[in-house]
Amino acid sequence: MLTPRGWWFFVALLALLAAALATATATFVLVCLAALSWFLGQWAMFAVRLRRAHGRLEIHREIWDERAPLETLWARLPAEVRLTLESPVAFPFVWMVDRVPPLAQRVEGENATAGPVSAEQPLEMGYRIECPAPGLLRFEGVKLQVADLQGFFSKTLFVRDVRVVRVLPALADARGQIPAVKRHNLIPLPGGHPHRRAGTGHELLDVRDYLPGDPPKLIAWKASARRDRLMTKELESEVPVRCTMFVDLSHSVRIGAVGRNALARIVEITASVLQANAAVRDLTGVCLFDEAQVKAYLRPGRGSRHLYEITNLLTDAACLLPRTDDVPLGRLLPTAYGIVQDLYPDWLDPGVNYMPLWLPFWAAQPAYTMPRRIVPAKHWWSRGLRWLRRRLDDTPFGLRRGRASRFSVYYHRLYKARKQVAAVLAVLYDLGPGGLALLLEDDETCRRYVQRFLAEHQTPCPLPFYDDRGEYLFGSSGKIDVLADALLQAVYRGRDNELFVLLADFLEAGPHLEKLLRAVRVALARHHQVLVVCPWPPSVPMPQRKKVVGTLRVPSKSEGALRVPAEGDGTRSVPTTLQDWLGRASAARLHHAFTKVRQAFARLGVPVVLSAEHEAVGMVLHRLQRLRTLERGLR
Amino acid sequence: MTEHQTQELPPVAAFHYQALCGLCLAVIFLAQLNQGLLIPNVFCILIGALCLFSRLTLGPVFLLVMVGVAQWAYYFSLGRGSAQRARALEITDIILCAAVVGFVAAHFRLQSIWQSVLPSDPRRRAGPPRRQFPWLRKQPPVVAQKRPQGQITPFELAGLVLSLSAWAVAAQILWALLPKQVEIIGLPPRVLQMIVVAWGLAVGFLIVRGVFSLWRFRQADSATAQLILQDTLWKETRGEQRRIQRWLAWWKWEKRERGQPS
Repeated sequence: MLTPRGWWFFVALLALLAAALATATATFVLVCLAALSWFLGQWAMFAVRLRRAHGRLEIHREIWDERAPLETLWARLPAEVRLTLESPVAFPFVWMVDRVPPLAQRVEGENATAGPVSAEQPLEMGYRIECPAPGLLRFEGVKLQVADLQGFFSKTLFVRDVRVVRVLPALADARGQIPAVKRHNLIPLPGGHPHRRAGTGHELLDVRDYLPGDPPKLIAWKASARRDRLMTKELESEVPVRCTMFVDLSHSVRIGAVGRNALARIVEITASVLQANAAVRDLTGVCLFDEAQVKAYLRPGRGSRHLYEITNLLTDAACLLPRTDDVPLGRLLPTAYGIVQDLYPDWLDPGVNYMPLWLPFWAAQPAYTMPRRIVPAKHWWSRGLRWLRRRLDDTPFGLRRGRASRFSVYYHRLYKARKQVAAVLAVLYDLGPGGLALLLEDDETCRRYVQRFLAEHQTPCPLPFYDDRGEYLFGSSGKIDVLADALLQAVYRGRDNELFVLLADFLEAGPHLEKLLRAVRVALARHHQVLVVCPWPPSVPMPQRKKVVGTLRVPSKSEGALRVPAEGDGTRSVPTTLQDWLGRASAARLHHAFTKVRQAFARLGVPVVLSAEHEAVGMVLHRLQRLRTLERGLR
Repeated sequence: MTEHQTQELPPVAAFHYQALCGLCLAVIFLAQLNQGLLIPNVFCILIGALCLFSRLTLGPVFLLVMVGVAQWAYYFSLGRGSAQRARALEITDIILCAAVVGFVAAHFRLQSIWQSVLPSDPRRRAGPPRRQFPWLRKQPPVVAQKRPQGQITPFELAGLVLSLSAWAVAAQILWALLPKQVEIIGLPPRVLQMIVVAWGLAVGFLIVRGVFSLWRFRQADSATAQLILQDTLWKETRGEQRRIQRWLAWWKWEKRERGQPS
């Protein structure tokens, strides 16, 4: 509560009072006592105000567009956040900061303000935000810093007011134009032919020569009379074109900042296709899947309710954050501790969350509870060595890391953060009386809960992409099986004229694609169309399509030399730093993987496009158009 | 205070606090002159004025030190016997105390306007990078959260001026409570006074802290109460819980190494 200024003044005052008493100068003792009583009086008044205000501070948040308050937002459309802080207790100075959600960008105004607050005079603030991508905006609340007029005392408070606002995908047609005023007409215009194939509908598609077996009721008598031979009317098919989008929600597409990762682009493509199909009354379905299971499946349908149902599903999925079991706890804890400091400052008070200073030295984590890599023994003679090493690790002599780290300042800081974060998480997730000790001793459980906590607060943390054996941590082969099963199910349930769009990351799948390729063959055999849209990291340059310009060679395992493409504009720049070299090598590896995926699908006649390309939506719509205009007799 | 009332009152700015500081310095000079102090008194006022115009952070402490030096010189000139005289409710002392507290309070409020009202947060930096102590690397300066001048109200100024006499009287009461001519176990009165002040502060802090802790516990919501209970349990059974959880963690890894499902 005491600021450095307050501490210095208090210590100086006590020293002067002691000197005054020691020298027995009565007037100066009186002066010091007056200053001391004034200081203590200010302290008591500040503390009483804080206690009286506890739990009575209220936040009123409203999100407005130009006209009215909103419950949901649209991506790429600005909105204004208005905040009012009401307090029944008067504070002479309050600094209020609103946490802007990671998905939103502040475009105008300040998200902080300062001033006095009282029952008659609330503190107000307003700023404008814009969300570049769909997702969920999570407003946690408002951080307050209360101080007295002299700057002797200050206290950080957080008024929790969690509010989650959905940001829907931008209303865009196939060309990406955002309609300003006029809404889409969902009913096709008279005379239009949405399904240009012959069938048993009511709209006239064509007039052709009569063939034996044609129903007589379809004979076009006027045309027959005009040409002096029998002509038959051909009616349009009413079987609609269906499109099912398989959206990958696995951890590999979630990598990156919220709203700026591959998942956001996938959701954007899906929403654009959905809206374009809704405009021409085509049926669209969606299947959301990850490494473990199909998260949601909505059969192709149409109508505004179906449209909003899919949009809400996509919106909720767009803000997922990656998670891995291989991230060291030391990377997660500082981020989580910072969040706890910001959002739960009162739960870090020593009175409620005590941390003995000597504990990290006394009870350092032993080596036998730390995660260790399990390497199976290759030879019979190495089994004995492994057994011996494990036994040594489990003895008190095996406290290698614990013994060394207990003298480290960094370890002490980390231990304190872990204890206090563990206490908060045990209460938040209701882990019971032993939850604190469980999170303090079990690294794996602690890592899982910390990542869940960070994901709920939409806070990305630095994750490793490769393990110590060089294997990609997010290239799960499980999602290939899940996708293959989902595709087969969709083929089984599907009807004619269906387009399956696979928006999935196969770049690190390696040799596990075979099951999916078999499912794609089944779909093609049933005369469906398949298209693959491959997510591409926004920061990596896309592979050149026609010619490779300006290449550099770096060593590679498979080819001996790997072609590193130049920048997107074709200019050739020689990397100078290790970071550049790593970036180039990583890009080259991705290009190589993309070529392999494209070749694998090209053997089946399935095109593969990148999600970062602007024509990805157009490609899907073009495929739908091809389905619509398939010539008679081709199937 | 409503907006209508604010508009009716004359505007208050930092200048008014500066004027209050100047007035307090004048009162200090007159009060000490009344005691017969001249040279130390003039030094005291000069130091105070210098601190005021140079916006020195330690200005109030310097003024207190100078007042102490002047008073010590005064009592030194009178002789040691007069120093322990009872000085109950002498008007000069009350005025001097009020003036010193007024200067200190007004100067610290000016520092909140000139420098910062909140402690500096090293995470909040803005502006062009520049070298600061210890000059190892360039960093943008820390953003200082100053109190805007437009938020100064006449009520806070009036409240400060009116409360000055109360603090002076409180000092007289505290002084009256201190033992003057009492000797216990051979300790001189000045040592006894220091012990009484130290014990008074310590016991007072403990009592006030206890009262506020009880108040806080009464206000705690269910989650905070759960956190307090959980922490108390952990403090009491920390060793046992640690042993159990470590054994469970070891057992989990052991099972995994043997290829059994954990």
